[in-house]
Amino acid sequence: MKRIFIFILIAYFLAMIESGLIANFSLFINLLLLYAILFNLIENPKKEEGLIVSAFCGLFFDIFSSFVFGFYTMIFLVSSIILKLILKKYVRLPVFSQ
Amino acid sequence: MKLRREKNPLLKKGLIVFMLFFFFFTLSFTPFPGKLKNGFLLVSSSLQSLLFQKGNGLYEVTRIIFRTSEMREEINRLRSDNRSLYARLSLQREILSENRALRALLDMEWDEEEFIFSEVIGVMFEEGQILVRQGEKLGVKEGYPVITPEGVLVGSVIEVHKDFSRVMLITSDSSSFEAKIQGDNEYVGVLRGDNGGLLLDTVPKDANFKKGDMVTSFPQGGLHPRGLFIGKVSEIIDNDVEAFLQARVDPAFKLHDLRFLFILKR
Repeated sequence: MKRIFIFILIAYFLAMIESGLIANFSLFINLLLLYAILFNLIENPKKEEGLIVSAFCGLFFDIFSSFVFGFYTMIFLVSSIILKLILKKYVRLPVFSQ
Repeated sequence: MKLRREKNPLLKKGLIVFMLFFFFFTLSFTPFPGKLKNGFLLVSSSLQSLLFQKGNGLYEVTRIIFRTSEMREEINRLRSDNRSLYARLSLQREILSENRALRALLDMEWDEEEFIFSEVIGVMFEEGQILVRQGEKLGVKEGYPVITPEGVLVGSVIEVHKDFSRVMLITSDSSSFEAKIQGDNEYVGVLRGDNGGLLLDTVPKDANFKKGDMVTSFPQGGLHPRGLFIGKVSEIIDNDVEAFLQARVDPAFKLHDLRFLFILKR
């Protein structure tokens, strides 16, 4: 529980950095998406913390976007489910095989 | 048996996704998303604003490091601009007093009550949109124009929360309104955002204007009041195939320079 809270807090700070700091450089780096993807890639496919983190990344994205509320939460969540499914079924990483 | 056990977690996830979808769908008919956004922004606005300002400083530092020669050229150009502006200023003072008298006559003078002071907090994730302090509480409404303290048109309000508003910049690809070129003659065209810059379209083929001419808002267009300064013509595009002339316009503001803004109550 504590771990998830820390990961969500990281996502919150990334959202702040993206909308505050990076904006000055006229760049668009989707830090939240990168974080969600990397988290799900690194995490053991059998674990499900990545799904919660992805959903929160999507929620933060929704707050800073004008699209229908919940749209990005769903997109992030479904994407991470698919990513986890692919990793679980088709990718065998030596780290997770033990 | 083994197969069924493997399918179960996926079914569970599918059910959660479906329930979430249903939850957000119902939520979209309530005012809760707006309240949640406002609450979240209220809590994080100080941190976001701080990061935006720090980013501004960081940008300045990187600009100094990487663009020294470019900046020297810009300083020289600004000095020459300054000299010519001084010359024009003395001429325009006279016109200004005349203009004030005419505006008072037409009851178009702006009162202080017509401005709402605001501050940039950060950008939104959609291209060409910023988040500013002040919202419904102070009477901000959708469509209100937003200007810099110098009077340069920045954009207009497109979404209002209780304490915050979302502003679409004129450089956004979704922005489009009528503007006029103020050179020796005046020409009206449609100004739209174009990859972070501005493009003035549908200018008559026989229009006689040049690089450096001022572009201002066109009050008769109905979107923005009086001739708010927008930028200067930087390139004229004369394509033989097209029925109209096009002009690239250098916006008079840069996103990283924006901090304090005024929202016009009209």
